Amino acid sequence: MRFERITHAALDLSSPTRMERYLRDTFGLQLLRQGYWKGEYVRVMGSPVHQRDNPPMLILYNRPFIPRARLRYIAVAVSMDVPDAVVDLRRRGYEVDGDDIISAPGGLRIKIDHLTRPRPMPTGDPSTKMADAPVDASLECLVRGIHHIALDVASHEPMLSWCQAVFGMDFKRMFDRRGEYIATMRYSDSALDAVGRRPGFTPLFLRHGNPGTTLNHIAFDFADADGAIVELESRGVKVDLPQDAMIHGPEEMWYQIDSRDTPYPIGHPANDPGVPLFPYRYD
Amino acid sequence: MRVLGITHVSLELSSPTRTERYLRDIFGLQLLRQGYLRGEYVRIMGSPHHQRENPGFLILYNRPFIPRGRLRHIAFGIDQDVDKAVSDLRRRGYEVDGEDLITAPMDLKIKIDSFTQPRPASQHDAATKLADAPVDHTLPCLWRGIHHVAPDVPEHEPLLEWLEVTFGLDERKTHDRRGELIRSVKYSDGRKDPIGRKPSLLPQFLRKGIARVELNHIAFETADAEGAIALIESRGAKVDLPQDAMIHGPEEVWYQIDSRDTPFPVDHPANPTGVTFIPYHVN
Repeated sequence: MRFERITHAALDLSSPTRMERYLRDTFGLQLLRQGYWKGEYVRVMGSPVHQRDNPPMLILYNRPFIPRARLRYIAVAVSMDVPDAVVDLRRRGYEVDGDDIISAPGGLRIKIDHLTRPRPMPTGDPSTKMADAPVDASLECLVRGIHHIALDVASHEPMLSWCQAVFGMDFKRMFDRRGEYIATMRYSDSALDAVGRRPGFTPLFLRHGNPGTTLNHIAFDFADADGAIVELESRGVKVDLPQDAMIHGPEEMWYQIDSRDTPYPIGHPANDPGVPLFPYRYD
Repeated sequence: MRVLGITHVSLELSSPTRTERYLRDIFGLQLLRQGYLRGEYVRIMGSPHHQRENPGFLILYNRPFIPRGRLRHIAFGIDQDVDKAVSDLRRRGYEVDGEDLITAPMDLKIKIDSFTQPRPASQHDAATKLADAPVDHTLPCLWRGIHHVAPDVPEHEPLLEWLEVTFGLDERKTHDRRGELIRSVKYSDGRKDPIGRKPSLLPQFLRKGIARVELNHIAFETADAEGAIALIESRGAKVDLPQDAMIHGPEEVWYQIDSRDTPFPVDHPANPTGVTFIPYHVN
């Protein structure tokens, strides 16, 4: 089973409505649906333009007064249909729950999903009642999808081994950027982007003593990364270039500008490895 | 051994790059150096115009997702060579570590430093690798240095006594401002400013129940305090005048405008004492 892309992430937030407004004002993401999903009230945010077959990018859950946003799960599009993938995982000894969620090291929850054939909504479930929200088709959405989700981990090795065992990723990379020790698992045969990177879906930031696997940032995929900086700053948002074009959102949610087609080359102000202890290379 | 002033303050921040941008955009402070210092990645911010021999005002350490900015250490510029001062302190029974840090009561770390002869960066240390950053000499910096650093303390007496014994500060002062009970020690022969204040490096705010000394605010020294208000507000930051010209920066780090040459007179909008229990005297 191959990990193809991250379809969406689910977040626990103190104020989902504040985040909804921020995502709309900043990135042009829109509320697509809202309502009860298995007894929990959720707001489904996405782009009506991109990811047409499986449009949510973020699902926002309500957890008033938590000190900062929390990652609930990451949904991963795999190379098989969801029911087949779940059967395959169970056959290999992994526990997959009724939401198609499998637990990874450090309490990280991965939902098995598909880019074009997501599992349909449950029917006949009295605790699920969702309604479509009116969509403004004229609102430009800058974001095409999720480029990667970076995680904080107490130790690199368990997650790296898990990605290798579950999804067959076979290419390990470690580097340091401005004091952060980062490891990723990728596929050795995947296509390189314009600056020579293979897709790394969940770069792992080493954070000794971290209580489990937690969210560092969500990187969105933009068609024009340089243009996105200009556009976002014109909307009053500060883009933190030396932190790799990071945007500090509400509830300590960090969003990053990245791009599969127009990534920042090394040496660009938004791709500054700082003073590394070991040489920085993509390949 | 006499303290001449504060050379720099070291802070732990969730996003040092966000604060770096803020300090540049609002105050004109610049990144002077960055890299690994004893295994920790730091960003050294300062002014290329002032404090030429020891220009770093703020050293920023990376601590992602801490709930607010934290004080790591305060560096005192003393009136003698650092080596001699460290030897003198050790001879007097104080523990001074390899970073020239001495621990004051309630876990406050004081670094022994010099305005004109700071200790050079460690050589042959595999965990230290710093590089100069390109400096824009045309960018004016509002700040000439650090006027004072105000700590929050669980009780006043231990730190006052320690400063008296360790550095010979011999004049105590107690006052209240808008409900804050503040005590400080100064040199009785310190030079008065135009409104009659002797230099007070660490005015302590009483905050019963906190576990250790925490940062209340950092006051910067400027040549023109009135002008600084206007300039900072023109750059989009709000100056909180009734809180003694405080500026609330990212990560709940508070910066203040002060000046030895042009201090705000008592009853200036930026120097209101509020309704006091203890009559306010500046001398």
